[in-house]
Amino acid sequence: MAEPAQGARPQFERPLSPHLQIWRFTATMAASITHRGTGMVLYGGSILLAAWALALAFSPSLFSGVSGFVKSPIGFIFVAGYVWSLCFHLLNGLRHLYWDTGRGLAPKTASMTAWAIYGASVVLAAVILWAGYAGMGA
Amino acid sequence: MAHKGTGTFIIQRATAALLIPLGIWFLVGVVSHLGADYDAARAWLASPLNGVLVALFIAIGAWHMRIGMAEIIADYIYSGLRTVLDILNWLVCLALIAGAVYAVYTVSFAG
Repeated sequence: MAEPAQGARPQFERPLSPHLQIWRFTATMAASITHRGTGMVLYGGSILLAAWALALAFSPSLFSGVSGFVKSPIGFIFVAGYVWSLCFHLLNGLRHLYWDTGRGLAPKTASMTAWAIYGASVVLAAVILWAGYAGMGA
Repeated sequence: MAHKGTGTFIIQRATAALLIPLGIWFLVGVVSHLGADYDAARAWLASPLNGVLVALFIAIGAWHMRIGMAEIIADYIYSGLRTVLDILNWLVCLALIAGAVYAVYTVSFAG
């Protein structure tokens, strides 16, 4: 296994990934970038989720702080961002698994499913958030 | 990580498939308890089914997101920093698994 010198850009390894600014806008390109972006949001969200579980196990005062935050306007933005990200990543993940079977790859189909997933993820997230916040009652 | 591409690809897909039912359950189960107070939330997590599913969701999610983040690091970082970030990525994901399992265990058996 030949390792490139530290700090040097490897010349014969992977090609550099295309940078965001060179793409003409298409729904498929947007969905691809959004998939990666929502994945990063979920990475951060998972850390907060584990922190929530640990607070539940060890610190009632920390837990009530978290609960209070969730109910605040800024907390709502965090929760909504996480919920929509999970909805989008989950639905678009289904699209990726479908692609893995070799189907749905024609440009028109891929573009149509990209738009559909933007729409469906927003609707799904809205329904879940509405149910979650309405269920609080308080 | 050379010559492990196929295995990583398969694990990414396998964890993705497992996360579909877990993710749906999580969205319904946890979001509907958003406003729960401490005692209600603890009682919910102490139920064996909920505890196991929360731990599985975080642990399988951590495995899946380690692969995704490693892909992003490999795509955009070309310096010695890459090794540091790869190790950090491993540690974050291992800590998540340990933290989630420990929390669920404590709520279930030590409360």
